[in-house]
Amino acid sequence: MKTKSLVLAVALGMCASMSAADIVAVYTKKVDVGTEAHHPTLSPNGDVVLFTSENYTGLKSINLSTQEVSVIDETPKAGFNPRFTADGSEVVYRTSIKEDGISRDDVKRYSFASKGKAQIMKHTKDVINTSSLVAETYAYGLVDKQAIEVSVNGVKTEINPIGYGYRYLWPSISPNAEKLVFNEVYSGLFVSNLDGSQAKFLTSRGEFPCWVDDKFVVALSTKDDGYVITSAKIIAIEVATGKITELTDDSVLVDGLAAVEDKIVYTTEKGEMYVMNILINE
Amino acid sequence: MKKRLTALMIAGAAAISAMALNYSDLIIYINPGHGGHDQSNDRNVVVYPYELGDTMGFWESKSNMDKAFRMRELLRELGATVYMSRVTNTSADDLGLETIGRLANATGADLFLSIHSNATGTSNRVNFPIIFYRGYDNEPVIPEAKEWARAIGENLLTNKATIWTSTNVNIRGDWSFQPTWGTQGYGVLRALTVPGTLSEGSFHDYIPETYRLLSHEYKFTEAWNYRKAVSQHFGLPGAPYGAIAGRLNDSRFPRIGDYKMFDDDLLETVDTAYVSLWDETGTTKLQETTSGTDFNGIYAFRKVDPGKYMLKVSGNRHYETTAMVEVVADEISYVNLKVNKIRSTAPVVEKYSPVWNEGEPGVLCNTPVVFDFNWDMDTLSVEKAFSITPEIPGVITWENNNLRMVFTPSQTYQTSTIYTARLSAEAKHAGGMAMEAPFEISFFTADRNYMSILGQVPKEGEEVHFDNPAVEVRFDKLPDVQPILKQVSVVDENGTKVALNTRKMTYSKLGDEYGFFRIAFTKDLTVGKKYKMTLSNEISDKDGIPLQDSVVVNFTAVDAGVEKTDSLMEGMEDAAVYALNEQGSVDVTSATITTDGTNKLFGSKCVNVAYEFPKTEGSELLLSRSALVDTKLTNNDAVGVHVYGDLTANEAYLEVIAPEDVKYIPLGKMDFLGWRYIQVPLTMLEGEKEYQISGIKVVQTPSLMSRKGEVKFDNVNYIKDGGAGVENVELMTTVTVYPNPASEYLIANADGLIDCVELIAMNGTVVATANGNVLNVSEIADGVYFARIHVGGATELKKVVVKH
Repeated sequence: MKTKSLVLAVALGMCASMSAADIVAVYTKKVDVGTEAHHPTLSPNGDVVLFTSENYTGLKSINLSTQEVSVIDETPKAGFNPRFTADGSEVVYRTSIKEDGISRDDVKRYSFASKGKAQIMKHTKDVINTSSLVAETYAYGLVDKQAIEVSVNGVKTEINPIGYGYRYLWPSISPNAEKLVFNEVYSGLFVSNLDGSQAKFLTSRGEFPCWVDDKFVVALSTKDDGYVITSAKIIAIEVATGKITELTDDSVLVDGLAAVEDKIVYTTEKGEMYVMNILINE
Repeated sequence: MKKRLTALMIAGAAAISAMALNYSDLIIYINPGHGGHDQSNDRNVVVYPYELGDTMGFWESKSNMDKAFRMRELLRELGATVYMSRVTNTSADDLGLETIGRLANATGADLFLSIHSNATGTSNRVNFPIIFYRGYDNEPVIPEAKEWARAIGENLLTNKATIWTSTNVNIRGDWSFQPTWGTQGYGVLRALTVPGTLSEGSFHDYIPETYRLLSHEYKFTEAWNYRKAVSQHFGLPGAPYGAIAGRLNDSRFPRIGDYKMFDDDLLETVDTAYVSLWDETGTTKLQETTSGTDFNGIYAFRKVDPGKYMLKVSGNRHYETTAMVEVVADEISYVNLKVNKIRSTAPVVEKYSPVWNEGEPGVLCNTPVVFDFNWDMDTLSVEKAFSITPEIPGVITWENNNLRMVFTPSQTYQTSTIYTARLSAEAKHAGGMAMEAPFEISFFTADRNYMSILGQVPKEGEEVHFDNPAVEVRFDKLPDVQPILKQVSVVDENGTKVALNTRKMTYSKLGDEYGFFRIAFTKDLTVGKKYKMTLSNEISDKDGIPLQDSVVVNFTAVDAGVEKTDSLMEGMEDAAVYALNEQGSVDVTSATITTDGTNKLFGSKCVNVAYEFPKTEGSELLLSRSALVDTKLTNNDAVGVHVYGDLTANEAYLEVIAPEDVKYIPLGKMDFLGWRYIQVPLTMLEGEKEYQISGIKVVQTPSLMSRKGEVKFDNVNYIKDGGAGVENVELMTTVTVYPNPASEYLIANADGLIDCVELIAMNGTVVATANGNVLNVSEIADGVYFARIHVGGATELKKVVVKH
């Protein structure tokens, strides 16, 4: 048995013994960002976390190594779907203004090195795909078109993995660029090939899905009573088997997550941020 | 001139700005709340004829979705882009709240609305809109959301097809409204980047509203108001056309249902009525529709050009009704109509009360006469046509929209009497048609028309021990205690109210042999002070049969526990020396004699005699001592006893014995409550003999309240040569008055010489006095009185009735 130890960790927090389960949380630590944190986004190497407010106003970052917090922008919507460049040195994000009561978004680019920012797209009413601005391989849910835009090395296609008439959110391409995980809002979480073929149902509730490696996806599984969210747990799904492992319990209501390799960053409805290190038993 | 030019330029700029925005620029995201007929995450209100779980009945998910569809149609017609979070009603379509917010953000929406309806979650019923935005009441997370909420609230309240229980604009921050949720708030509003609200459009557990929410036309009116709020929020022009909507109710017939109803919801709805829209002159029919089928009477014409119109309503059971209506652009003109039912037959009494048949027991002497008619009646003609014999004053009231007449007598009926209530044929229904024949009912009344007082404390002229006093009144039936606290009052000699401890009230319960209530005073009384207690004649039994008159009594607070200088007889309070004497007792169920260290008057204890008899008359209890009291008593002496009465009116005695003789020293009737000092001259003892106390005797006085009691004794004194200074009012058990009832004279008899007789009204005033034993009552009004008989310095009260 080969164990891929991604972190030398002492199990201080949530801990489970290794067994037939293939993924466990071995260490969870609260991160003090000095303010409320929601909707995290992780840099490609997992060192920096972007976070925002509950309604995506403002964008800040924290360096998990140095604990340095930087304010990138404070305007509305700046925290909605920001994207790191492939090397993690810059961030592309939008800001929103109101004209005659309706929203118009622009796009800005922020450099961690210079701490400078520049507008790279003027305000528009059009829906903006920030992923396309930082990468040539990405997936993007076209909610209005009821399709997913998949770009591989700059070659774009629109796919409907489970047929026309569905609405896709949070599509994400696996690290080896072979698989696509996506949420169809009425049907649940699926995995498919990049061309949409061989779509396979994973679970009925899976928000903010992210690849941990090429075999595991983590997502948020929520329940509500129509008014309030009553349960929100992080689950890990083994794509090949569909096996689900719960990584958090009901003691907190998770409201956003991001993952890179061994690390999951999640925030709670109270605005707390946690870093969870995970161990995958192959 | 320059100033005017500037103003024109500003106006022009504003116009250009307003022109800049079109509906085609707008993206509106609508979330129909809940989904999937899922009992755990949906709201199913069961209303007739739909069963629990019937998808044709009211489900909030379906109602919300129907409103969303109508709103989408209205907005799309104006050119806006509209997204809905679901377009079918399955559990799968009931998206997670995070997902809904994400979708709204991802579509680039400019405004978000989550459509819901409300429920109280209690037995209380209300109906009004509440609109929520994220944040605190005065601190919305997105300020425009509060404005958006206000626009919705104001527009929803314009709906006149419903009945609002409050017309205040009710907009709230969800963090303030649900403080126990902290800042979690409504999940669907949490992660919105756009102004968002959650609208509880009305209360779906207010049943008339539940029925309205089953109407597509009613849901259209709510959708119209949402659409209009969108237009106002963005300052866009409204629809170039208007609409007409309203509710049809019967003009008089009540709605049948055991649920809460307000205002015109109390009236029957007129369903499936034919409603047509005509030109102003009524010559050309333009549109037609029918009112709802689900007990709501709702109709609507959804698109009507501005102008004046005539509306005509007719139904199978109602006369045609017309109304003029003016329609203006972007407004719903509400026309609620009350239509008259066709009353095609003569009125008849369908049900009545009381129903009495020969040989049956008499009805209660306060029973109202009730007539239920087949039609709503013309009240004036019916009241004129009504009579009752023997004549008795009363009040006529109307219920159920004049379908029910109720005659309530102002006083109780005579006992054991046949009454006849009659309606002449002049009684008409609201349509003017008279009854075809007179109608009458007869009933026999019961033999009791007033509640009687069996015993009370305090009584007129009574001296009441000041410590731990209480008011207690016993009746022949269980009193209605709910209003008692307002019907009993005590004032002191200055007229100042004396507080009663309402929390220490006790009262009879079902199954008790007699009724009573007892209320302790909050504080002790002041010794020497005079007081007045009033019992209202509104005190009644549980059937509403009242006291005949109010009762007013004057009483004085005394200290029955003043130490006496006379010799104390030792051993009287030693419970261990007493035992039930079975030969000397008659029909005793139980008797216990104990020492009581709590309610004593002197020293550390008193002796308590608790007894129970099997019936309400005929029993005697004798408790004999195992050792005689040492003190020797002669007929020149007197004894003084401190007794705690139990209000049973049973008689208490001390048993004394001498060689070859036994005598019973009467302590009087125990018709008082609390401690009293009773001094008795021993004149009934035979001369030359010396007696010693050998026991205690209780003799039952026939009465509902005599079966159980508890009497206490403390400090029994021996008064050598104490025949003088007797001041006992309870000794004259031989006093009688007759005739009773009296009409000309009331005559009192006693063993001793009667000094005078006073007649005291129930309000405490002395209405007649006679020296000697004969009192003339020929000029005294009929009623119940007390006769106070004075004999040798003592007095006794007797209840008497004067009737001419």
